[in-house]
Amino acid sequence: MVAVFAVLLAGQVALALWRGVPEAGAQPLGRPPSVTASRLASLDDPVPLAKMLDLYLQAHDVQPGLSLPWRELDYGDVVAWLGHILQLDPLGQYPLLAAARLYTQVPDLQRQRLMTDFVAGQYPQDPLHRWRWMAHVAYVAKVQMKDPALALRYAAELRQYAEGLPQVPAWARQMEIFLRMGQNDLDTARALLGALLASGQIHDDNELRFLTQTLKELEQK
Amino acid sequence: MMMQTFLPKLPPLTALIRLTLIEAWRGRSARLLLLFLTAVYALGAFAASMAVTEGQETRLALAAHLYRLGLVLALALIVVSSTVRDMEGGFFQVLLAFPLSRAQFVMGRQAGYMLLAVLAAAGATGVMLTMAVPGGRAAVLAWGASLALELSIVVAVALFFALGLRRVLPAYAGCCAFYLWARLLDVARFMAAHPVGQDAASWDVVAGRAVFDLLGWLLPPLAGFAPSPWALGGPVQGALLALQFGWALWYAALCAGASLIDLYRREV
Repeated sequence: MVAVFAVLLAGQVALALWRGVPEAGAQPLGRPPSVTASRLASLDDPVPLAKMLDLYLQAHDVQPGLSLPWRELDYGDVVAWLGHILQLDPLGQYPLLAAARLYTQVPDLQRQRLMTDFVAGQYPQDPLHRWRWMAHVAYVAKVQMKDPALALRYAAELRQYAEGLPQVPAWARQMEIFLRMGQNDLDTARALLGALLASGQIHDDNELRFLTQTLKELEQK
Repeated sequence: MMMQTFLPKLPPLTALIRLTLIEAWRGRSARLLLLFLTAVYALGAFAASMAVTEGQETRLALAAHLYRLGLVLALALIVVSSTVRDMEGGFFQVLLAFPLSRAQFVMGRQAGYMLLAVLAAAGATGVMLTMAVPGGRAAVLAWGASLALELSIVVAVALFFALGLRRVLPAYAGCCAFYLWARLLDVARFMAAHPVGQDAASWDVVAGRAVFDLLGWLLPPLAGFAPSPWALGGPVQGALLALQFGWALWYAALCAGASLIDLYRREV
């Protein structure tokens, strides 16, 4: 009996050795499924699935054995996934944060523009809950993309949809005027990120840490 | 004799409810529930630590989903296995030798399992309250109440399948199939009503729509129960919760009625 067990165990070990060590290889993200398919997969409870997809997308650039630079990601697919997640959970802020703050850090204007345009496209659907991402992409356009005209356009859109919403702070509604004053990038960053931090709208510890770190890094440059 | 030994002075219904809870306790259900609640709590904390933002919401959404699904599957298994054991082990026949009708047996067992469902939902809600977003506790309580109602429906359905099929695997599979369809009913009806790439007037589309409409008349819309946005502290629709309360009681009564029709037509 023991001998049979030993043979079976040796067979299992031999199979494992034959399979070898898995090699790292970048897996493409691909396109997201349809909303209906996601609703089916989540047993018609799409919000938890959306939260898990947030983490899946966030972790995609760190695959087993390698770390993909953002510039190697297919940003068209990333935008499609972000939109998909937002459709599953319209009140979720994660996709907009990822688009405005994370994926815009890629040193590639076209990719940055895909992300800022994604946020600008989603903002009018829920200005009350999405204004701060719109303010952030205006900042990204001014400071990171060095495109003041685009920044002004985003700021104008921010004002247009935020009018009549007292919950949106005055500094955000007046961002267009601020951008027209022609301050340097560091002052713009200090003012906008500082105002965002002071607005009390950010409660998540990780997000607070991220913003504070960004501000510190800008000041050290 | 057995009931007199365990519960000498209680009326039959109360005795059966108490017996059901004692059985669940002795079956280590409480310890398993505690283990499950703790494991999901830890998993939620891990997921939250990975999130760049909305860590609390991620944790709550994941926990709400896992608690809901885990409790549904576990309670259905407890009901099915203990009911089949009653039938196969002769305990059901022993009970009927006492002044206890079949209707009292079904109602007593169902009420006991529903109470168990409420206790399980209360445990999950207690853990969820510790993770609630600021100002979101009332919404979490509403989520817990809705979860208890959903679990009540599930245990009533599990009892129906177990009494009717009297085998663990078919009864559990039937219960899971019921749950799956009841959860997916709205999506399935939506897909049937909006066919993609098919003629909406073709016979197969019309037949599919009719089948899903029929299912819609027979199954409770479980997708609307225990809504995740409530667990995340979102606005609670009181009218929806009241409707779910009425629907759960109605459906439990319907399942009890169906079980009784089946039980009374069989030889014991």
